Amino acid sequence: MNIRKIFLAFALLASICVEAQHRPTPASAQSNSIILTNCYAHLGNGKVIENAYIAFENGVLTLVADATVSRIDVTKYDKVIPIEGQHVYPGFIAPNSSLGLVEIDAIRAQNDLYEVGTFKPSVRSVIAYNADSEIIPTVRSNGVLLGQITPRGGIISGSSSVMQFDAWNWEDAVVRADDGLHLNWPQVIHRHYDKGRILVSKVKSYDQQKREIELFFSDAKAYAKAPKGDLTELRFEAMAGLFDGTKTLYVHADELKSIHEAIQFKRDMGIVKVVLVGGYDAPLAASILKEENVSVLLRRVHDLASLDEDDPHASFALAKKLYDAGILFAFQNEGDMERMGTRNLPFMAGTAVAHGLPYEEAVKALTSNAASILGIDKKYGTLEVGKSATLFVSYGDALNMTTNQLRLAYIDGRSIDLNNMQTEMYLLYKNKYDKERSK
Amino acid sequence: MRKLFILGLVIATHVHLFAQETFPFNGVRPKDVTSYALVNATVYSTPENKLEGATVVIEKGKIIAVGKGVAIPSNCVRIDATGKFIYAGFIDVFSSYGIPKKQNQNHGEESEDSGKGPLNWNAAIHPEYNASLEIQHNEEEAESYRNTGITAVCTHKADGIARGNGALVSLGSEIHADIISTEAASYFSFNKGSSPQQYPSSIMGSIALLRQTYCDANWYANLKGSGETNLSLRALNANSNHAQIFEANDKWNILRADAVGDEFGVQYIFKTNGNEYQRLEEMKGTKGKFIVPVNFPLAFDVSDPASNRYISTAELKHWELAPYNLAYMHKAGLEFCITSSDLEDKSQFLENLKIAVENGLPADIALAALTTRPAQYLNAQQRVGSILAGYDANLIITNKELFSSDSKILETWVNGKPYFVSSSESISLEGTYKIQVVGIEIQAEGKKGKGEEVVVASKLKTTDALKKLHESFGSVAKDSTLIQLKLQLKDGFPVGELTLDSASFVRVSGNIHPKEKGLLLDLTSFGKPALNIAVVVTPLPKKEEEKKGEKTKTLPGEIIYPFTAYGKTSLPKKENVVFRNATLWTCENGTIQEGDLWVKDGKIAGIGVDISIPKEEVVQEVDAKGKHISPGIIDEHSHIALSSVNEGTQASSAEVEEGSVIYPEDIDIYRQLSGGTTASQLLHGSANPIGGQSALVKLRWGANAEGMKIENAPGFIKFALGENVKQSNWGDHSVTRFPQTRMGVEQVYYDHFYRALEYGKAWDTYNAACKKVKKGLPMPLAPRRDLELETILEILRKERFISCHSYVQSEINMLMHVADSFNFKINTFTHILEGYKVADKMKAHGAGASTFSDWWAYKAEVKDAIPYNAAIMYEQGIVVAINSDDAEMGARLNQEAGKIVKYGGVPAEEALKMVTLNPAKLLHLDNRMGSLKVGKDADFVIWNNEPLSIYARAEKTYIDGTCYFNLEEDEKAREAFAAERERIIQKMEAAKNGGASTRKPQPKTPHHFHCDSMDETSKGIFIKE
Repeated sequence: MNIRKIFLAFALLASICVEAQHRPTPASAQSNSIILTNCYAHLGNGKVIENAYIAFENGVLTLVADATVSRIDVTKYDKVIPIEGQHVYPGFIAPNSSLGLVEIDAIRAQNDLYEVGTFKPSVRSVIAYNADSEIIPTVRSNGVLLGQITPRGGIISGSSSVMQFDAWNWEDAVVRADDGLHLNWPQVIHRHYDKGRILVSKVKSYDQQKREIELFFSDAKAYAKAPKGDLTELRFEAMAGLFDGTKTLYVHADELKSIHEAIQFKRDMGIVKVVLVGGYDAPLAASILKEENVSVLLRRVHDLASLDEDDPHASFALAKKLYDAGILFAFQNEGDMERMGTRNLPFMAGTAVAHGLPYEEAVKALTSNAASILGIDKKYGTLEVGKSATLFVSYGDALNMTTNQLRLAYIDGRSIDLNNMQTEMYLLYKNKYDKERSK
Repeated sequence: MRKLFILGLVIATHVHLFAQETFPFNGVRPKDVTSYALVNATVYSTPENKLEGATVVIEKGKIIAVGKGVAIPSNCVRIDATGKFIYAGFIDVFSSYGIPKKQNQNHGEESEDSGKGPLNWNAAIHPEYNASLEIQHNEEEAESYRNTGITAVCTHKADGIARGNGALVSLGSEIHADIISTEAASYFSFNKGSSPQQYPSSIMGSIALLRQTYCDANWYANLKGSGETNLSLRALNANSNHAQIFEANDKWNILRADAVGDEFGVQYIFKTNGNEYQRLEEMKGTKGKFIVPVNFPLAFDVSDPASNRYISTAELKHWELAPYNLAYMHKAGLEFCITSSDLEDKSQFLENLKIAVENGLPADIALAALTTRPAQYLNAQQRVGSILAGYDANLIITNKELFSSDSKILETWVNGKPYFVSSSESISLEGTYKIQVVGIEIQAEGKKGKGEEVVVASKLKTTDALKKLHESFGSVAKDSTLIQLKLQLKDGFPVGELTLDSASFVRVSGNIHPKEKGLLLDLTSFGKPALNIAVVVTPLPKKEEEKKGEKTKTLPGEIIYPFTAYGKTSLPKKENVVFRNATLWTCENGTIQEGDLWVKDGKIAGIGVDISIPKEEVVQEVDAKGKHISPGIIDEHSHIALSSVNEGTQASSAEVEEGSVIYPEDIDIYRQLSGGTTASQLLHGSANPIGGQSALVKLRWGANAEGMKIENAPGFIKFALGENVKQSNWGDHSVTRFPQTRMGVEQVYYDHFYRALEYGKAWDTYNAACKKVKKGLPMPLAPRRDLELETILEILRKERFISCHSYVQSEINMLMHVADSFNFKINTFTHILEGYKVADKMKAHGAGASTFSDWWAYKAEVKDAIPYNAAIMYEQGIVVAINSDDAEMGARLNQEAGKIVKYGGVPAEEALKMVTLNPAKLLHLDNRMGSLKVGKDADFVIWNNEPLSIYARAEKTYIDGTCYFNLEEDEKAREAFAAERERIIQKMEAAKNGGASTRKPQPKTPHHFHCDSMDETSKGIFIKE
C-alpha cells in the first residue's frame, strides 16, 4: 500500500464520518432559477413583506412580491424552496473590516494589516485579502456576506476594497476595488504629566501633523489637476478619486474636537464624499455632519463607554441617537478580536434595537445603509428586483443570537456552503463521543 | 520688628559654630555666653496653653524659662516681642531632607539575591538602613522648611518597601547639633523603589513580600543567633518599638497596609494623600494615626465645556472636598499630624493650613497636629513640640494669631538661633503725602495709578522755589506747576519719578523707614537735577474690611460611595419585597410562568405561583407582569475592580492575593451591574504557571474591598498553561525565564507540589514534636512560614481550588495527570477552548469548565477553538460556565449564554445556568447562590425580556435583596451628576476668577485588564497633585 492509497482510504473514512473539508468549496454561478416562497422578508430598505415570494435568476433578483396581494406562478422556476415563516435578509455587510488580512493575531507572519509609513494611500488591501481565510466562513454562517476590507495604521492607512465572502481568490472576491482611503485623524488633545500632575493640552505636534495632512492633500490635488507629466507619483495617483468623488474619504475619529477638525478639513479641501468612522461623539456634532452630508460607520456597539460619567450603555445607544438625528449610519466592528468577532455584527445591531433603534432601521444599517456608504448600493443592500441575489435565510430573527440559524445563503445567486472549519470540528468530535456512547 | 530682624542677623554669625565640639576651629573659637529673652509676647507653650504678655528665655539653644514675669538673666539680650505670637516650631514627620536621591535601577534581570552582604534577598527590603548615616545639611532645603514654620523633620530615604530608619533632625545649620534622634521611626511603603530585582512588580506582590518578610523576621527571632545572619531581619525585629510609618498615599492602600499590620501585630501610622474623608469609617477601623498632607488640588481650567467632560466626577468633587479633609477627619475622631510633603510649593503650607482651619479644623487641633502630636509619634515629646523649659529652642514668631487670615511667620528659631522669614507689615505706599524738595512742601494724597504705582499730584502756584526747581530741570515755570511723584516698591525699596507739568522728569530711588503710624521715605534723584526728597506718608484711616466670616459659606457637596460617577450618598438597603406575576427562570426547577418571588433579609423567602405572605410582613408588592427574573449573573473569570492582576515575575506567585488589591471604585462594577452581573471571581492573570489567589466578590457598588468579598468564600488560585506562561508572545527577548516550553510547565508543577508536600511534612513533624514537649522545657524551632508553599499545600489538602487558564488538549491532559498523581482534582479549567477534544477525560477527572462563547484565532493555541465547545462539554456532563475575562463582555454575559443556544442547540434554561448556577457550582457557592430557591441569597435580575435574548435589558439588579442597579434611577443619576458637576465647575470658574491657579483637564485613559495584563495600574491611587 503506498502513501497515496493510505491517504485515500483515510479521506474516504473521514468523509463517511464527517464531510471533513476544512474549507468550504466556493460556489459556482447560479444555473437554475430559484424561488423562495412564503418567507418573512426584510427588504433592507426599511420595508417588510410578511409573506413574500422572492425569485432570482443568473444572480439577479427577478421577483420580490407580497404573496397576499399578487398571484405568483412558481412552476416557471427551476427550484422552489418553501421557507414558510423563515426570515430573509439581504446579505449583511461589514464595513471597515480587516477580515482576510490577519489570520491568527499573535502570529506575525500572518499579519498583513499595517504597512510601514504615515501616508500610504496607494497601499491596497485588495491584493492581500486572503480568500482562503478560515475565519471568513465562520462569519458568513451568521449572515455577513460582504465586507469592506481595510488596512490600518499611519495617518493614511491605505485603500480599502469591498469584497464578497465566497471566492477562490481575491480577484473573484472583489465587489468594488479601491472604494476609498482611510485617514486616521490625529489626536487633538492628549494626557501628559507635568511636575507630578496630570494635564491635558493640545498635542504639541498636532498643528504640524494637521499641516502635513493639508500639504499632502493639496499636493495630491494639484497633481490630479495638472496634465500628466513624466513622473508618476503613486501616492497622489491613489488620491485623485477623492477630489472627483469617485473615492470616499473615511475619516477615523471619535472625539468631538477631532470630528470638528475633520469636517473643517473636508470643507477646506473640497472633498466630495467623507464618511466618519467611529464617531463616539458624533451625536454632539449631528448638525454639521448632516449639513456636510457625512455618514457614520459607528463605533463598535459592544464597547465600553468612554468616560465613567457616560451612560454605561453609551455605545449601545449610539445608533439610536444617530437615527434620531437623521444621520445615515452603518455598523462596524473595529477593535479587539475584530475579525473573529465580525460574526457578531448582527447581534450588535440587535443590541442597538434593545436600546431603542427600530428593528428595520437596524437591518437597514446592516444592509442598504452600508451599501450606500460603501458605494455598492446599485447592486447590493436591498431585496429589490434587478439587484444582486445576495441574501440569506435564517430560521429565526437573525439579529438575536438565540434565533440566528442560517439555512441558506446566496451571493450573487450562488448558493453558499454554510459549513466552516468550526462546524466540522464540532461534528468530528460530536461523532467521536456519539460513537463512544453507543458502544 | 525691624529691630528683631537686625538682631537676628548679628546672632546668626556666631551661633552656628558651637556644636562641633570635637572639630578643630579655624580662628578664635567663639563661646556661647549670651542668652535671649523674647519679652511680652503671646506664647502658646502648648496648643491648649495660651500665655499673654509672656517671656521666653533661651540659653545655649534651649528654652530655660517660659511665662509671665519670669526672671531674665543678666547676660540676656532682651527682644521686645510686643504684639507678636510665639508658637513651638512645627515638626514634619514625613520628609527626605538631606538624603541623597538614589537612581531607579529597574528593569534588571531577576535574581534570588540582592547581592549585598548578609542582607535580605530582596533589595526592596532594607530595614537596616539608617538615614542618619547619609544625612547632609542642605541649607536651601532647610530654609524652605523653616520659612513654613517647620523647625524639625523626621527624614528617611523614600525608597523601597521596608525602608529603614528615619532620623529626627532640627533644621538648623549644623548637622551635628541638629540630630535629635537617629532612629526616630521606621518607614514602609508598597513601592518597590530602586530595587534592581523584578519581584515584586505589582502592589499585591509588594503586600505578599512584606507579609513574607514579617514571617521571616519572626522565624529569625526564634533562631536566636543559632542559624544564618541576616542584618535586615535583625533590624526589622530590633526596630519594632519605633513608630512604624507607612507611606500609603491613598485610602485603599491604607486599608491594605492596615491588614498586613493587623496580621503581624504592627500598628502603622499612615502617611496619606488627603482623600481619607472619602472613607472615614474605614479609616477609623484601622485604629491608626495619620500623617496628612495639605496639598489641595488646583482648580481645573474649565473654560472649554468640551474638555470639561474629561474631568472626572471624582476629580471635581475631590477639588471641592479636599480642603475639608482634616476637618472631617477630626470630626470623625481620627488623630493625625500634618505634613508639608507632597506640596510642590512649600510656601503654600501655612495658607493651606488656614484654609483647613477656615473649613472647620479647630485651631488648637491644627497646632497640635503640627507640634505636640508629631513629637509624640516620634517619641520626642520631652524635647520638641512645646515651649517649655528644657525643650529645644525651636520657635515660630508670627505677627498675628497663626491661623488668622493675614498672619505671617516673621522668624523661626532653631536651636536658639533666629532665622528671618518675613518682615512684620506689608508696606503700602498709599496715604497722605508730605513731600519736601528744595524747600518746596507739597501735601497731597497718594492714589493708586497704573499697576502697583502710587501717584501723588499737586498743582502749585509758582513761587521762587518752584522757579528754581524748574531751572534745575531746564524748564520754564508758568503760572502754576503740576508736580507729580510716582512711586512703587521694588524689592521693598521705593522707586519712581518726579515730574513737572508732565514734561520734565527725573528718576528717583530711596529707602523706607517705618515711623510711628507711617512711613518716612528718603529719595534721591539719579541724573539731573540732583535732588534729595523727603517724604512722610501717613496711611489713610482703614476702611471697614469685608468681614470674611460673615459671608455665608456654601457647603461643599456630599461624599458619595464609591467616590466616582454613579456613587451614592448612602448605600442601598435590603428590601422586603415581592415581585408578582413574572416569568421566573429559576435555574433550579425550570421556568415558572406568572410566578412570584419574595425577598426578605437578603434571602429568597418565597417562590412560586400566587405565594401567600404572612400578614405580619411589611412587604412591598410589585407587579412584575411581563418581566423576566433570573438569578444574578456570575462571572467565573473577571479582572475588573482590581488594582493589579499579574505578579508575573516568577514562575509561581502563589503567595499573592487579588483579595488584597480589590479596587471598589472601578466604574466597570456599575457597568456590569447594569448588565445583570452580581458576582465575579477576580482572578490573577496568566503570566505564570502558578498565579495568585482569587478574590470572590459580589458587585456591591459602594462597599469597600472587604464589603465586596463574598463571606466565607472558599479559596481559589489561578494556574495557567500554554503560550502566556512560556512567554511565547512576549517578544524575542523573553526567552530565559523557566519555563519556555509546555514540558517545562509540567516540571514547574511537580517541583512546587513536591516542595509543598515536604513543607507540610516539616510542619507536621514540628507540630507533633511540640505536643511531646514536657511543660517548662523549650519548644523545638518552628519551620520558617512560607506563604507560597503554604498556599500550594492548601491545594494538595483540598482546601484551595484551581481555576486553570488552558487552551490545548495536551496541556489539559498533563495537568489532570499531575493532579491525579497528587490525589486532588483540577476544579475548573478556564478558557478551556479545546475542552471539547478531551471532554470525556475531563468528565472522568471531575473537572469543570468555564469558557468563552465564541472567541478564537487570537493566538496559535486557539486556532482550534470552536463556539460549540460549551455545547459538547455540556453534552458530556461537565459543569460548564461561560465567562468574560473582559470588562465589556462582563456587562452582557446573558448574550454570551444566548450564543450557546445558537451553537450546539443547548436549551435556553441550561444555557442560562452557564452564567448563573454553573459558575456558582464551580466556585463552590451553589449552596447559597446561582439559582432562585428559597433560602438562597437574593441575587437576581429583573429583565424586560427573556434573559438570553439580545433584546433583554436588566431593569433592576439585586444583590442580597438590595437593589444595586435600577434602570430608571440610572437615567436620573446621570442628570443629577450633570447638575452636581456643573455646580462645581461654576465654583471652579469663580475660583479661577478669584486668581487661583488652574490646570487643564485630561481625558482619563480607562484601564481594563485581561489575563495578559502585565502593567500595574494607577487605579485607586490619586495622582499626587
